[in-house]
Amino acid sequence: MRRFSRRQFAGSVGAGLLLAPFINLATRRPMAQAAVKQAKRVLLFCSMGTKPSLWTPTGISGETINTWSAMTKPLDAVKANIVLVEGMPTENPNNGHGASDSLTGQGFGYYGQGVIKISVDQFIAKKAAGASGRPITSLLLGANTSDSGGISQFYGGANGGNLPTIGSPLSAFNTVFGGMLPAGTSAAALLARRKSILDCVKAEANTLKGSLGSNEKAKLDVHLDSIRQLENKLNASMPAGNACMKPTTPGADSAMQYMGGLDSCAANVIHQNIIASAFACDITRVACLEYGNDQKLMVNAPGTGLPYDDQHGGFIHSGASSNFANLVKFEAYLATQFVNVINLLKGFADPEDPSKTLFDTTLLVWARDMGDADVHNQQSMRFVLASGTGGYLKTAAGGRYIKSTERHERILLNICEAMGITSYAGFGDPKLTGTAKTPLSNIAA
Amino acid sequence: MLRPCLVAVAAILTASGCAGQGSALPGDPGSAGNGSGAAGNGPGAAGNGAAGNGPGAAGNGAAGNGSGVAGDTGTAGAGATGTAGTGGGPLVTPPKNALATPLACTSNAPGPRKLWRLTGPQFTASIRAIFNDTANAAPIATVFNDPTNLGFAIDAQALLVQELNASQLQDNAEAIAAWAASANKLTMFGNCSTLDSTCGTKFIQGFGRRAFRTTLAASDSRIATYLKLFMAGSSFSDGAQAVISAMLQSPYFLYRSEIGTGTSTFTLTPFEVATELSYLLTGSTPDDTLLAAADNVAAGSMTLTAMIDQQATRLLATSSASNATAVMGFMNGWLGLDRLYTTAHDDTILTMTKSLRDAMNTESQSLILEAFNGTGSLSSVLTADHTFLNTELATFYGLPTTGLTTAFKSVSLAGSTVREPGLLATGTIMNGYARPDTSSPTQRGHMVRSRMLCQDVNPPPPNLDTTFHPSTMPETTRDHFVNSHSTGACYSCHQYMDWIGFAFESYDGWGRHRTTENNLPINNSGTVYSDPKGASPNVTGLTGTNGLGSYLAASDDVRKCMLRYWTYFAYGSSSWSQDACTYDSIYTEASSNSFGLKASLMAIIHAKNFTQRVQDQ
Repeated sequence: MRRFSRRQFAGSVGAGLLLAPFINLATRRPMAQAAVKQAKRVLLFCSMGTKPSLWTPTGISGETINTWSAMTKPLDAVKANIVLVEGMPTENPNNGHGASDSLTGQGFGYYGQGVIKISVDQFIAKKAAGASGRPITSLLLGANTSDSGGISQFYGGANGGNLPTIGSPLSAFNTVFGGMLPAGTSAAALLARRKSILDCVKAEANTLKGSLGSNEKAKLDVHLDSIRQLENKLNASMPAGNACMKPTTPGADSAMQYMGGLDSCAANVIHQNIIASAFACDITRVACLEYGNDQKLMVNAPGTGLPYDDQHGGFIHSGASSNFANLVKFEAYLATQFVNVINLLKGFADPEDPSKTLFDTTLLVWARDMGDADVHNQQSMRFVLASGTGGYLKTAAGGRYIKSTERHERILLNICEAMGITSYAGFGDPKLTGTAKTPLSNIAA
Repeated sequence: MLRPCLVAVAAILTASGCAGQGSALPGDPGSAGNGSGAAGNGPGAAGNGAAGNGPGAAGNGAAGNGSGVAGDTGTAGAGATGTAGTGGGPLVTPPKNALATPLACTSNAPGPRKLWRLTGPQFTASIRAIFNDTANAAPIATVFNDPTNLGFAIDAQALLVQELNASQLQDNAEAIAAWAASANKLTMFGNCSTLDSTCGTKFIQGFGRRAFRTTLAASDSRIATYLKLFMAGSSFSDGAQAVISAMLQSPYFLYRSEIGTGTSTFTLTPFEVATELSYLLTGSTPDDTLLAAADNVAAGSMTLTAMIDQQATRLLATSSASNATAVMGFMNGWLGLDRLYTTAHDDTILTMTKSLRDAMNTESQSLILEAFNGTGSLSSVLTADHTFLNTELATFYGLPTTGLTTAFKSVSLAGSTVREPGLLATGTIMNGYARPDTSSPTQRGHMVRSRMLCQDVNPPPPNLDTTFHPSTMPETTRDHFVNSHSTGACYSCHQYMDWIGFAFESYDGWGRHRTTENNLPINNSGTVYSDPKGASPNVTGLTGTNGLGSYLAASDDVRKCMLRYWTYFAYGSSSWSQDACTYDSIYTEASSNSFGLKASLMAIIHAKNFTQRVQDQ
């Protein structure tokens, strides 16, 4: 098990300041929840909806999973750490493609109503103690998530705009771990130059803003916020010689092309490694890996028996004649990837507590854009939750299965709670109150 | 056997309905949904449009005898259609506009000032052009992952520098700077190599001219700022790299400025107009000739209008290699021609090799470029009595290969029984809009409906069983789709797609001609229901892609639709206050030149919006 030296990071409120005029946030600080075992990190594993009848375990008694479905069978390898949840509707259960409910708790109708649409990963990145102070506040990765006019599930920013992922593994690697130090340049000198350049860029952006109306100014404000995030990362840069282990530098995108585009499945395997290493180096504590978007994911998965095809058009709508055979195979593939991520995290020590693995101190969540992607609705959203020894989740030796008809947002609040956030003002459906605006019970250990 | 379903098309339709959700900023005001309800034989009650699955509410529409009346302007987005009155026949939902309804022209105002971030391809092309990197050696990173809207990833509201982009841009800029030093590119700018303020200024002005797409006068305050960076270097090379790194992260490089000067109406500067011209016609940064022409306008020795015409003529010269960029950048997005490469096919039935796809791409591109480089129009592309073939492609189509080689040449289709005239019959279209194992009348019809008629169809209502059920008896694809979609809830939408798509049925999912399917005769007659003109409710008797192509070629609605999409591609905005002014002027000029493709592009360039703006909101 690897050991890492502890590092101190400067806190940052830059991104939060951008949102301050627009968000009706509670001003009180999050209160400690001594009874809940908190995670330090959260990893969202996101994919499209599925065919519910083929996903649900086929043998269940109470909460105990006796027999997994073919789709979920690979999860049996880590069943002692797994909680399956389904049955939970969104606020807009008839929403389908492109609806933003899944990670925000807010559907289409919230534009222009003064309510901010922010996905749970962004909410946590900005509010969770320890998350916002990392060099990278949130790491959104996933290949080809803009294909076919589709959009990713992540939302943030002052007006709740959709956030893109980094698709290129090489670009993600360089963003997380930085490029090579130029020959003859010290890290200190490079840092000084970078800061001078950023000062120049910011000054130019502010000069341009002077000529523009509010709509165009907002673009530069988003740009300036991006620069602020970069400055935070620079301020927390690893000194030369640090023992943090980077993964192998990925090849250029040109080396992983398939049928005229980046091979999504191959690229996302590399992204898994980047996320695990980014956690191990404490560069970020919020990471998301997305498989495709709400419209499309071209699947090249050698060894699975799957043809090269689009997950949504080809597998999800593959028709009753095959009993969705290809969808079942692909869902099993995704489940295998989920288990792969767990195993990667098990292979790293927690950088602050080497007696634990990263998996012990991380909450993994497999979330989807829709419930039933075949008929396009959000009547029964489903999650796969995973945490390690002493982690946030209440687990059982054979895995747990929870069926709930509560609003799905409550699981998003569980994720917030796991990261130490107990004030949910500014997140999700503002019309939810009382018990409905609390994490789902019986999830936390 | 792969059985992807019609619902895959529903996914496409839903993508159309989700337009505008990719931006971090308030979207442009949307238009009302069409509030017209279709009434039956009896009088109908007024329909109230309800908020659809999108921002904003639809206007109120009144249904009654005959066609309903469009609703009032809504607040934002596209709402659902109003419900029809009672009585009469079953409710049929007419198609709605794929693009926002133009906003009325009251004072001939141009569009708003804006900053327009470079697209991913423009970013890459610009860096290569700046360094004259003809070998594609510069290590340019993939930075942006931009959303697609209306078929293009160019929307000025959606192209942002956000989240980790600044970090990616920094890494990219430093890598490019280091490469430029190692590749001996530094002396291109300033023609000196010493670490002093004179050389530094020359370098900054030389590199800045290409990177910022303008002349940096000695008095420009940016010179002093960059000189400070330069002089902090340990050597000329080190200082130059610092300047390159900074300028490639600068908003003056990353954004195209369309701000201009003025008070109530702003005139874009010669350099801003040169930038517009260059990115529209070449997809890249202005070359030295264009920048020199902008200098002349700035010095008063040439008018802006003269510069536009002179440089557009140069850049669009018949032999210009960039013409492919000028027109195909638009056509690929408008008609989805690059689906040829991304649509999955069942290799156990027929393997589409890269060579074959490339050949089909060359064919369709050649047809379009031939029209563009001459005086051809969309009409001539849709009805071309010849095509471009090599031996491989002719063999695939079942056409004679006499006189053909690996090179492409124009071949007459006169008298052919296996290929009809025009673009619609090309392998590019047939393969791009197909299921993996067979043709798809729905996809092909939807392409025509949404991209060429500028109408769209609502996505399937929730909880509707859209599972595709394969045939249980020998039948043609047409018969199967008719049997599946001519009744119940499916028909209300599928009539607007499938019945157009039936005109393509002489070709299978790979573009091979057929007269039978499952030993049954092919019926390739098509119908366009609810023709946009409304003069006749349906357009019937369209036989094959020849008949459909002729109808579309003669349709003024198709011309307007193309111009509308091309304007969006050129300006990066699909709607703005009084945008009807721009569309009307473009249509008028294009019309006077028989809607030639090049003339249509020139009409966009001649529009007031190309050189003038008003303040943005």
